[in-house]
Order: sequence, then C-alpha cells, then structure tokens
Amino acid sequence: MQIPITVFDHINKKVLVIQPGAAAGVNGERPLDELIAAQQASTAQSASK
Amino acid sequence: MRIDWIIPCRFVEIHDNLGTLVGAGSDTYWVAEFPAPVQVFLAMRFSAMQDELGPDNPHTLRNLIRDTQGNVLSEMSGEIVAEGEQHKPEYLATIMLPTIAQFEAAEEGTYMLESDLDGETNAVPIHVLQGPPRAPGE
Repeated sequence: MQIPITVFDHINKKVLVIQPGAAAGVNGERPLDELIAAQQASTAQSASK
Repeated sequence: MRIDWIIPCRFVEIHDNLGTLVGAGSDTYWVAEFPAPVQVFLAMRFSAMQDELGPDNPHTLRNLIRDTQGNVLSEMSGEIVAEGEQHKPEYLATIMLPTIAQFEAAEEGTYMLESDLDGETNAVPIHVLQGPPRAPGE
C-alpha cells in the first residue's frame, strides 16, 4: 500500500494529504506528478553532491 | 512515538512501509530570483511501541520553518495516526511518512526545517542560493 504524502504548505497556510497520482496538488491546482516534474525540471533543483 | 530520522530529498514514496528516495540528502536549492517558492521532500521515519499505535493514539506532527536569521517564518501542525501490528508486540514499530514542506524563500541563505513529534524536535538545514546550479566550490 502506498502512503499518501503529507504537505505542509507554508505559502498557502494549508496542511494537505495527497494520494500520489490524485488530481490535487499543493496549490489545489497542480497534480502532484506535475509538481514533481516541474520541481525536477526547474532551476530550483538541488545541486548534485 | 519518536523521530528516528528525517532525510531531505528530491522525491520519496513509501510502499509497504519501505521508502524509495531520489536525491537523498539534497540540501541545496538554486532559484532564479527572490522571493522564490521552495519545495522540499522529507522522508521521515518514526518509531513507537505497539500501544502508541492505532486510531485511539493520535500524534501531533508540527512543521516549522526558520528564516536565514533564525526567526520563525511559519509554523503548521497536523495530526497523524499510525496503524499496524508488529510480528512481536514487544518489538519497536517503525513508521515511514513521506512529506513535503513548501515555503517562500525571501533571500539567499540557510533555512531550517524543523519537525516536532510529541515534543521531540529534528531540524534539517536547507540552503537556498541564487543562480544556476553549480557544483560545490565552483
């Protein structure tokens, strides 16, 4: 069983519990998969160690 | 229930209480400009005795962000309930929880992501820098 992700959204002041793949996101408008893809593609990537 | 460890990463998912982590240990984020939203995946592992589990034993997980000066930027909390049974009730149970902490970085520097479970605190430093990603020392 896959465990839902708990999101502490300090920008929008919400605590969300998201089932991976569900049509809900951190901002309630972006699916988590998109969020992950955007994070990995953006300049906000972590530096490789 | 106590915090065993928290690992910042680029992605985590938990199946059958086992974690799959990508980019485990990621602690530096590069942004084009400030302010910038920063999203950090945190793989958390907790441990508890059998009598601390179940719907009758909710636990409060608090997540707190400190800015580059150490001031509290934001604080939120949620209730977690861990269920399941150990093969042997006297053994310590371990629980994995995938989380994301999203906050707005106003300036370059080190932010602290603090997690507090039942009064025990664990802090993870996250460095936010401006510019394209660079290797350490570049």
